[in-house]
Amino acid sequence: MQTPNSSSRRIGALLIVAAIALLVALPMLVKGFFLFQITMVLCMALAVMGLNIVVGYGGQLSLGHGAVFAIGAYVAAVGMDSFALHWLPAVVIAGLVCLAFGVLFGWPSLRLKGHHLALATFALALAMPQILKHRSIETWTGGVQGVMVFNSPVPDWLPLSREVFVFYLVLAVVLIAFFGTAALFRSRMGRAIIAVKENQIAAASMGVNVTRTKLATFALSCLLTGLAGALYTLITEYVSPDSFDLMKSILLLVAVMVGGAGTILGPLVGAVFIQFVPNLAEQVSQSATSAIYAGFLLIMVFFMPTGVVGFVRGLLIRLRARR
Amino acid sequence: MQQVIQLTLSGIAIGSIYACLAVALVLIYKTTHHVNFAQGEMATFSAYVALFAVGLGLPLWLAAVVAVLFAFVSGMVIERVVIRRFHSASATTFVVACIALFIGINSLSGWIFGHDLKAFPSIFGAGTSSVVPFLSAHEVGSIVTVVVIAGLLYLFLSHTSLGLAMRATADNPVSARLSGVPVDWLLTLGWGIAAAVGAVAALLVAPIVFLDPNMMIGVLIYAFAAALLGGLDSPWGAIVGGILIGVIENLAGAYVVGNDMKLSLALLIIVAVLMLLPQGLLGRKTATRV
Amino acid sequence: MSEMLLETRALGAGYGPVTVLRDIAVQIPKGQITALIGANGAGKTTLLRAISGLCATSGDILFDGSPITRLATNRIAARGIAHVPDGRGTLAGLSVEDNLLVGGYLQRRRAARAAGIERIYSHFPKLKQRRHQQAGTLSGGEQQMLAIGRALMQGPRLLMLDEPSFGLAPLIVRELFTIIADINRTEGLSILLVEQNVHQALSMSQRAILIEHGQVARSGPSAEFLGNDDIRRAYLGS
Repeated sequence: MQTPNSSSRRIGALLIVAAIALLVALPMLVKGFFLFQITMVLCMALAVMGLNIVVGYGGQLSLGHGAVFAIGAYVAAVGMDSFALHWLPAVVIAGLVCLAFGVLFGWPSLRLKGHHLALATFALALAMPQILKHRSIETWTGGVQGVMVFNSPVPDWLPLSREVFVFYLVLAVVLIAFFGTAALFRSRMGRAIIAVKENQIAAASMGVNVTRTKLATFALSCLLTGLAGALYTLITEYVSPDSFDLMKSILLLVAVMVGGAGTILGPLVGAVFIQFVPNLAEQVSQSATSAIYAGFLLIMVFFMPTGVVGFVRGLLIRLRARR
Repeated sequence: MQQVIQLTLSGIAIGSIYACLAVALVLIYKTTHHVNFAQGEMATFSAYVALFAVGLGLPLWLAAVVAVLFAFVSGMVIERVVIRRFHSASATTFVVACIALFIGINSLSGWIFGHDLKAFPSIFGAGTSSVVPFLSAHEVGSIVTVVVIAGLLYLFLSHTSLGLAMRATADNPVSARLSGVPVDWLLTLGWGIAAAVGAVAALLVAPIVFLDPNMMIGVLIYAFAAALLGGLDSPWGAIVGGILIGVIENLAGAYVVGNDMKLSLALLIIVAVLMLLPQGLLGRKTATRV
Repeated sequence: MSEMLLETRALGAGYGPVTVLRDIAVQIPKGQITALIGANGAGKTTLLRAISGLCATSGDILFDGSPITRLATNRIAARGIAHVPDGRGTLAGLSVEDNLLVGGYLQRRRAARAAGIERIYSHFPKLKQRRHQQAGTLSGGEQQMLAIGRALMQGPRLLMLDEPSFGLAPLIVRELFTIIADINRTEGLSILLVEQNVHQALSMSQRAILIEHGQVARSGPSAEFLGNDDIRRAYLGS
């Protein structure tokens, strides 16, 4: 019984090492716009990873992670632009602000059971562009104009172009987040999170503080998505309020569902999906993109509730069983 | 002072519209304990159907009736075809299905009817009302409409056996089934009624803001706020909540936050209700003794 | 032997991948009280749920000679089977009278419903005093009476009671069983009774069915059960 399991695990580990090696070598293989797109995919994968923690492991639904992404992006942009911060503290502060935001925003709804987080975050997603445009913070956020960030993040001693440097930076953060969350879900805390998802009452009776665990899950997810937002600022050098509307949040949700909620590799698959599908769909018509998302969401909830990754895994298990 | 009265009155009028959509949300929440995030988009589509019917030469009132009937039937169809298998699913799965409907119907509206703003006439005519000072005929009509809906709903729920069966379905579906109540059919009917009430809300909103595919999104979060304030499972709470929120919105918009922050105000109200009044004003606190 | 009201043939039942009942063949005679006994988890509740169409089944269930196996729960109720589920199953948020009216949902005529309610109140006078009270605020015994009342409102030909005495004080239990026996005697209503108190169940019923590990271990007249030493040792503690 143990042999196929451990051998498949070894294959999995080999695949991961190969994938990482390929990614590390990527800047030598591709250039320009395609490298930019891959960087974006990685950045979105980090954001999706954040949402996946809430939806896939926490069993709660956030419809406002686009807004959290926006907060991360704006904090980093304002920090570098108005306060002339170095990119590293700017990104770290953005992450921490989102972590704190997660705690504060999550608390009122997460101590209640039911749909309240979805309701509150839905409103958050809708309100975010308005808030970013508001007059009181216009000096920093630039109102409707948004913020341009002109500074080169590349250290003097590194002979790398801006694009390549940002690519490696994003890759490093994604890998840390990837292995970090994988380790987290093998730890005591991770088991508590999953216990709360499976059965709140049972978890509570085993001594898990349900509200605090849900809050920690949400805050952690905001941290990752906020970091992704900050990296987004480094990639695009520009943030504007209307690019962080409700659709951004829905996009992240689509990515979680398509990739597979509660799977480790799902966010990467989902990020590829939301990065490349719009380009293909927009060639059809203006309405096509969201119609395609709607269709995929329905297909996922109807037929593939564990997403592409879960589906493929199921296929592999069945194939192996037949042998 | 006069301005305060005027803002309050028109707040009641706009609040009546929020109340309509909130009632639709609550009707579904009561029977399934799920929130229909697609309620607003379904309503928008029905408003387009009304405009389409007007274009075919129907008088406005008849077009409105057609739209509400369309909403009723399509609400039932959506329940049967899509929602049915998610009633007992987790909240997450259900909301994801609703979000799929949300963006699906939204893009369908845009694809069929276009993304441009369309003027939409009021059933109650343009101009001011002769009955209530400060208010337009449309505003008075909105208030009357929500009163009529509340009355009809009360009659239906409390004085018909179908209404009783619906309350039984909401209270304890297994016991209702065992008593011979066709629970599945009542859930379908509930979606139909909710969609029809939602369509009324859209017909009342469209003359104020122009019709476009995203018309109801802002209204939807005010309706969320209203439903939460009312306690999520009480239609009467939703009506009270809707009217209160309409008044708050108008007064705060004029004196506190400015009109460009209305969505943020709704967010603020939602968070405040969750923090301070999680049961809502008329939410059910069933006394149970075992 | 009297005529059979309900009959199961090779009935299997379960929830998802879990099979609870296997190859159940039971017969419920008309006009009698049949006791369904067995240890906790033997499958008694599942058998009632299978008959009511509340869980997945295989095999056949015949009610009054016609199959009801694949009918929806509300259609089975309409055929004349009333089921008072375990844990009472009152409609907690509705008034006592509304609970009874829900029981009378299948009764199309208003006058018939009103007469039905008066009949229930004559069996359970306490309910009449509390007619406008929310069912959730009643005591345990009153809720059980209300649940039975709601079932009787259906005008059933078979009444299935799932542990009606559960969690009730002995005095209330005695009152409840007196009323149940009374309804069976005066109205000739057939009753299928699941009951933890085996002695009580056997002494008030004419026939009994013993379920062990999801299968019928024994069935026959209740008097034989009472006289059987094995049964006495295993289920009656003497």
